Amino acid sequence: MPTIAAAELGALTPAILVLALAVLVLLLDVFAKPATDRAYAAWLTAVGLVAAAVAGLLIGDAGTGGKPIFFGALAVDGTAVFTNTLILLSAAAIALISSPFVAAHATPRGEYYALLLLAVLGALLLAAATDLLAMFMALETMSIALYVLAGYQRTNDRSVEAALKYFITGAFSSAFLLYGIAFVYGAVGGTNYADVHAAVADAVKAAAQGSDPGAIGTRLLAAQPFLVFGMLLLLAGFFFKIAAVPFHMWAPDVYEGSPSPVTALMAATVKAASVVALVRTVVVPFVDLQTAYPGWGYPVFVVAAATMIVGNLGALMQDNIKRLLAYSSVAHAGYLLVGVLAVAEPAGRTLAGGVLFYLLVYTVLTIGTFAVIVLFGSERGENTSISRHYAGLGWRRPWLGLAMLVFMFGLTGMPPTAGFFAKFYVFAAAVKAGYVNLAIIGMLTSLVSAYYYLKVIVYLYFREPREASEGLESKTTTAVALACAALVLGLGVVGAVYGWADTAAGGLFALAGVR
Amino acid sequence: MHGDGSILLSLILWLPLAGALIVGLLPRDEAGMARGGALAVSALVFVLSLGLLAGFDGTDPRLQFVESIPWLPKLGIGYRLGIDGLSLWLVILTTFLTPIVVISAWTAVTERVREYMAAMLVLETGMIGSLVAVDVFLFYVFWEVMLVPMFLLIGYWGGQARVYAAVKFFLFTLVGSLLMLVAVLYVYFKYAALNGGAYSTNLADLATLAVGGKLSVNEQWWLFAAFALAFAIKVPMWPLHTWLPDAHTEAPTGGSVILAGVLLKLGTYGFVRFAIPLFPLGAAAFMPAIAVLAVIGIVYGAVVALVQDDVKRLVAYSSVSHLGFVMLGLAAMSPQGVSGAMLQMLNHGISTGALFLLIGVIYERRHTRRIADFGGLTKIAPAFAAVFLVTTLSSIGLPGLNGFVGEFLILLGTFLSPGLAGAKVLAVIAATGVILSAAYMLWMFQRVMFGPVTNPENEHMSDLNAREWGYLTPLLVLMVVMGLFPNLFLKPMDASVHLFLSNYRAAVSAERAALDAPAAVRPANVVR
Repeated sequence: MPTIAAAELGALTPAILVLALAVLVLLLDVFAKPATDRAYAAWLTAVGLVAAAVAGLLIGDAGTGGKPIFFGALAVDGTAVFTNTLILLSAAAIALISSPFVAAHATPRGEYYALLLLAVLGALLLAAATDLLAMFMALETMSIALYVLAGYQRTNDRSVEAALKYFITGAFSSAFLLYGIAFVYGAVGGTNYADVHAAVADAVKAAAQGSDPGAIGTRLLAAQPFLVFGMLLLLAGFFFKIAAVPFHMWAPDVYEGSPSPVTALMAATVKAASVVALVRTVVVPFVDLQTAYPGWGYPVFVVAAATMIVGNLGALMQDNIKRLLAYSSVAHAGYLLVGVLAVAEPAGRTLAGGVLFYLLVYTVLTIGTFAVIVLFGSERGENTSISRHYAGLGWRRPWLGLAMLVFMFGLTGMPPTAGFFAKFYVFAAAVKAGYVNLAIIGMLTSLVSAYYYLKVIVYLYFREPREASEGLESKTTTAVALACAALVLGLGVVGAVYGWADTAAGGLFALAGVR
Repeated sequence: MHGDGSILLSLILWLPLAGALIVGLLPRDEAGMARGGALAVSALVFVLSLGLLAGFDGTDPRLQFVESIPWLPKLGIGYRLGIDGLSLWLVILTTFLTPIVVISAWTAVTERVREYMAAMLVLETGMIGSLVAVDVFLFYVFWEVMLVPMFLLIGYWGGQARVYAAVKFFLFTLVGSLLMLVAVLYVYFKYAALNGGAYSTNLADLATLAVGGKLSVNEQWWLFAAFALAFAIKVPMWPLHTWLPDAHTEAPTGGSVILAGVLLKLGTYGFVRFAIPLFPLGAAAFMPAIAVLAVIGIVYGAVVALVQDDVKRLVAYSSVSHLGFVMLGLAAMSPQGVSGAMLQMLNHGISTGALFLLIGVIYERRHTRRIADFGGLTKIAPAFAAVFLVTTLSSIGLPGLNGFVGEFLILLGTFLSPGLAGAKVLAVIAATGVILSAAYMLWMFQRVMFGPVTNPENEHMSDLNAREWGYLTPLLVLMVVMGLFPNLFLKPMDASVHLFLSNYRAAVSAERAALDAPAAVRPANVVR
């Protein structure tokens, strides 16, 4: 009977710590007096998450060598360590920026932080999963916690609407994924990514035996229709999660209605985990398909192009900063998909670190932006109208204004912010992999994006104030915003960060035996 | 090579940014400290840049004061700086104009002085960086960095339609740069593919692709087009100039001076430093078109300037015309043409910079720039009128002042151009631009300065004060010195200009030879 080695448990230390922390936060909340200020929960969560991140970095793969553990369910390789650190630190920052929000708008209860921790637990496992069922369970753990968090402002109609919409579309996405898993399982006879890869390799080999090399795709489809169909369904499920066109419709409403820190969690942490899971679940096991039959990338190509175009055009006319960021998040999903597609090509594989680096930078940018949004809100409401609430605020809140300036230029991709370097690496991979056309679409849509990001700066600095509200005060949240701004300025310029992302991505294709 | 191992360039490059940080952290109500700090920093940078002039060897065409440190070694990206005859004077022009702009804003900018000065200093780092970077990636970073402070300068301290002008300026410039980035990536991977996977963004490395069929004519055509678009927007060449009148008119005085004085030159400089040396065959294909567009720009800018009723807008259109001359000189690709273009960049920086400063002087007093609001200023402010006259004549190109030498060399160079089709016709049409420039400038001068004082509000306008004399005098001196002793300025450029031209000619003639060779041995990628 197979057993689980101690090293395998050791490799999961961060996830175990997060789970314990969630239980602790819940229990403390039960035993605390109702009158107690729950600010301690935010700090406890943040400190615990940072501790888990440090533990994860120190332990690394705990001697498992990045190989699949728990009977092939998870792999704690370089990519997992990188993504987990990113998830844990970003969630710690989100816990800190939640504190003024929860105090001002929601019933201050400890379960907010417990749910946050459970979502993080799901994200951690999602980024490490190497088995279809493990992936699905991690995804559901993450999503269910998020559904509740989206509707955390029970008395706010918008929040409730957001939760319902997120739940329904989330259920759709889960259905797609499950359906895809079922098809792949039917074709492969296993749910392990290694099994899937082996089956794909066999199918490609069988299809390659024929006189006409051009017809490999047709023969493959004829011989293994369920495998290909299952892969497409898996793709669709992930497209839902990362809000790629045409599965992006939910994003604006959900982003707008959810509490701002929760939106940050959806846009940053969840997206990071989902993109990594997309690469692990679809790109890596099906990589032989790519080598033999380049046409398979066509759907991703179309989706990436459409996502960049629709996301950026949709953001143009938004006045609500959260809706604007929802479309911007769709647009960035498009840029990420360009990177994912490039990684799938043999030529782009050496630049796989670009995708991880992009996730890191985008996460920092998103969390920083939402920290500012939280502080620009007031006790009465979130104050998200750019033209009404943000006019002139840059001068009244100089530090936050400056941070927002950095974030907007970072999201545009202006040097010397890390946003530029992230786009540079991703588009570099695209050009190297032969997708010059996607790189050009990416550049041109970045130009469109400059318009709406500039609009925020225009209102912050070039317009007279229209409302008396100056927003909330919170030293911690201000510190998070400023730290994010400093990171945005520093991450790209310091070459070592990309070096880490590059090394981390090195083992991505180890499972498929390619590099 | 001279000055290698020195960190002078780095000092000149980063001091303004350090100054910006210090000025930005000053207390909010200490406007005087912000002004003084910015002046001290920019003056120090100017003095240091004179060190470049002192240490520069005019006989050496190669890069000097080279600094090279690996930055992102995995990707072959380096912190590589250097100057040669093509960039030396432009760096000094930048460091020279910045303190002048700081002084000119002394009383003109009263709101958020600290932020204004900080933005100006960040801009200086961006401009110097673009001029001294000899790594394509590093250049791109600085090239884009310039946009942000200029956007803020126009958008906050500008005139009525400032937000529109600022956004238009930003987006127009960004269009070109982004496509240039794609082209950079293409060349970057092409280089790696041809050099066993060794990445490099070093300009010298990438320039090796120019010859020997490593980049086909077709590839060079597209790559040159992508680079040229970015630079042509910045120049700006007709018909991509529409952002310029708005940006120039709405920008605060200092912003206009820097825009006209330095930023536009970065477009023409980009052609000389990057687009042409990297893709000479593409450049050769585009030169006739560039020459025609340049001539259209010369005439169009001049004709439109004639009908302006806003002095600042008039000068903005005159810039379109003058920069057309610079591009024509480059397109001629003859020694006189290129030298003339390089010199004309400096001339335009001095004369148009001075014109914008003078317009700033009257705007600060009268808060209007409409020609019709003035008249008879010679009687009220004779000193101002005299300085304005000299500057106007310099801008027109009166012999003895700086503008003449550059325009003359450009027209001569175009006339003698070895490769340009219809060069003589183009030179003749361009020459009408000189006449038109006399028409619009002198007509404007007459309406503003001569005649009776029609507007009673002008009667109490004060003449130039000591501070204004202080920053205008160096410009006036330069106008005369550059007009009388142009060789002082041409000499240090000569060697680099010749190297630039001989590289270009070598590439083009190698290509001709390949085309003349028998079809059987012709490389496949040469024929499309």
